Amino acid sequence: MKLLLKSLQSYCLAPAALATLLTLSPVPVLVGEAMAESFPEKPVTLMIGFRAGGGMDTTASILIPEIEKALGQPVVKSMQPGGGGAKAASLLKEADPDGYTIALGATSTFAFNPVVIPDKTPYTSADFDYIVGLVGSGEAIMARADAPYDTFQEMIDYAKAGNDLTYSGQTPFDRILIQYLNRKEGINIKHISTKGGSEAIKNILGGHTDLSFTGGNHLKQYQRGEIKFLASLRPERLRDAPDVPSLTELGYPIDFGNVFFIVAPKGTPDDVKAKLAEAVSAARDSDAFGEYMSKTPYFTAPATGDEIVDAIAAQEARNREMMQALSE
Amino acid sequence: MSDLATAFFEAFSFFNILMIFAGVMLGIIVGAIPGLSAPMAIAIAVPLTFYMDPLTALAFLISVNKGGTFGGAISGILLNTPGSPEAAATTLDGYPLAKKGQPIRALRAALFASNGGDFFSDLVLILVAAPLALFALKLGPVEIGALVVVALAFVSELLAKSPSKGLIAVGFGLLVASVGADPTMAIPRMTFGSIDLQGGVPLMSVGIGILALSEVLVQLERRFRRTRTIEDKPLEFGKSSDDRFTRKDLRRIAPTIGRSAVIGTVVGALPGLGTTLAAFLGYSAARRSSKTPESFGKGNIEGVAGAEAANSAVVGANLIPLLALGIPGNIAAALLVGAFIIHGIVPGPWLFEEQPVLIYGLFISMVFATCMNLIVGNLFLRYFAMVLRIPAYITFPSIVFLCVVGSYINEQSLFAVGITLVFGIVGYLMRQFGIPVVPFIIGLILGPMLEHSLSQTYVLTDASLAGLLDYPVALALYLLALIIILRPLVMRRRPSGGGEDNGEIV
Repeated sequence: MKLLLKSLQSYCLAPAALATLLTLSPVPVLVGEAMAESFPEKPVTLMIGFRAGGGMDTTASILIPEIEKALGQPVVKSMQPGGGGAKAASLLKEADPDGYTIALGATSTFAFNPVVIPDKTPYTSADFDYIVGLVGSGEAIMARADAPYDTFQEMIDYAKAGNDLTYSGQTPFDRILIQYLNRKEGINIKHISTKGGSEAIKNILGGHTDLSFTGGNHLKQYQRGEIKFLASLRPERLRDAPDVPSLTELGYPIDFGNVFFIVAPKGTPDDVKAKLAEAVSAARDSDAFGEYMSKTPYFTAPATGDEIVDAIAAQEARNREMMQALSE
Repeated sequence: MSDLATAFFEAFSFFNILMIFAGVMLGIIVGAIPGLSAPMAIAIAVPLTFYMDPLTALAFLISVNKGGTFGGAISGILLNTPGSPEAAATTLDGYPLAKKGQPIRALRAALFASNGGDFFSDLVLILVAAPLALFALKLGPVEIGALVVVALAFVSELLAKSPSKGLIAVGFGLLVASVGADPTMAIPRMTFGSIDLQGGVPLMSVGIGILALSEVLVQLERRFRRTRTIEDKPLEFGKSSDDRFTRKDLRRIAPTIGRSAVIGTVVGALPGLGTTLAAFLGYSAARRSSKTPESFGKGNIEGVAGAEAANSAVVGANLIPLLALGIPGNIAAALLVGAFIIHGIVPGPWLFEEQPVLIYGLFISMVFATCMNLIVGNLFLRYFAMVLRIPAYITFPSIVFLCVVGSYINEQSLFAVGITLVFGIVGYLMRQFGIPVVPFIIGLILGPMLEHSLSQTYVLTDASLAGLLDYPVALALYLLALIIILRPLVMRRRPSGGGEDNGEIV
């Protein structure tokens, strides 16, 4: 009951914080070193580039009270879903680099969109400062347990034997991936777009498509033996299916390993970044967040800003290689 | 058996009952306020439930959802400003009833229908969730696409009064819904370079503007132009003997409730279709089976009941795919998944073995929440109707304020508020030119569904009609759609058909 009251209290604070933000935001903000020492003096806006009520929104909701504790200022969520985080990134690029506007982003937002659809993406990965890593998930290709192939190679061979396959995709990345595989292996996998993990798993369990992307939230079905993983789409193997190789391992230039992290506009003062990194790390390593994480399909990804830059660069390189192969 | 006893014990704990009551109240209020909606309230409340035990958390959120579907009917019936698209169908006959001086009768019909539909879908969930879910699993993208076409054909008769204007409205709705990243390639279209439009036009904000805000503008204009006429007097309630919901009324709407409850349950069991579609299907079905279809749109309680029972039945039924397969059926169910996950529970059929107490407790709480909804609704009905006594100079500014706030909360961006204001004016102009608003909403909601499914069908059938032969169920559904569309044309040829349709859809 006490806990409930506490939560009500913090919940009631949110509109107040919103009001403060609304009144404060039109005031021109001084950017400079002098200001950085006193950072933060007012609420910080955290943009979420994903759907309200989805995994990242929930994760942020658990994280925010902890960040507020460490930062001493309210953190206000701003939902900006669209384009796999692209909308939030586009808005973030235009924001003042003062640390008061930050975003929760994913590797692919910065390594995929600018490389694969450059004319539709108003930013590149160089437009941002990367603060600190939060969580990762288990991207993979899945099939129904009774599919006539058990590994990625067997699936390719099966397709090469003249069997057309179907694939439920969830992201623009998927479509390019399938195009690439079709071209490279001379097979025919038909790609349909789905709205997300629930529609994809329905297509797999109902036998409507042979293959599907999974963002990592079908662990339960895997453990129950209803589905199998054919390959990890991360550069490394899946935490929960260590026997399944990754496509990188199998020699494909494919890397869809997402890490979710905090990102700020380019030019944010170093000590502001340091303060943010410290506060977010403290929140990420808190007991409350640890308890939450132990119950989700995500895993903690304590990457530093530089490590995130490297991961994005590596993924960009593989995406370029894949696009190159496609354009040949 | 001891699990069941424990579940009873936990479901009837004081705190659980309190939170169900709070949830139902919150849902009704949020649902009744134009601009706010139950899914919005659930999204905000999910993190809050981190601090409750799992059963109470889920019971609370489901209660919000249940209260919300009835609450949506209140503002639609009393003020003609449905707070969410799903209540638009209820308004078609609810508001004319209120204007006739029967707001209490309409509200009570909505309350009984809402809880009747809800109760039926709870029972289906509890008794036959697994087989129904397995059946739903058999319907793939191609069949779902065909089903959406059947639904469109079925509700097309809502355009009956003026097919050309209705089609203009549907087309306009489709156009607005197609702004943003396209569903297959995710390439932005019709965004005119706007970053804000990349994610599409926020549909809820459009709905709030078109349905609620435009009505305020219409009323305002009426006030400006005319001196006070009889029509402008505040609506009365509870005065005339007509404004009573009688046993006879209940008998009259019972078959409609039953029919719509089945429709809503089936729609809810199929992932991805949603409450708005169910409401319009339920309304259309009631109108089609009525002996006096021409009385629909002019204040027929069967219309109110048909829409309400159907959209409420979705609430229980959308847990069918969630609990039987682990697949959330719509936004509200997806939000519930968040609440499950926060408590370390992955929802799915495995819960029946792993967490029997939670599942039984949840079922008991759901039925209990339905009863609570009925009781609370009944007790406070007259007080809700008192909204009509509030002078217009308070009501209308409040609605405008709530529309703006609701739109902001939903999207958390001022851009969404702008969209609401723009579509408030668009809706006003549409009404001025006699272009019905409801078909616009149908296009807006069903358009993306249709495009999504058809693009999938296109790939799976290799874009050939012959490819459709592999999908006999879908083929049969397309034929059914054709029959639904062509039937009135064939019937009209007969002299005795009496096919003149005067249904008035505003």
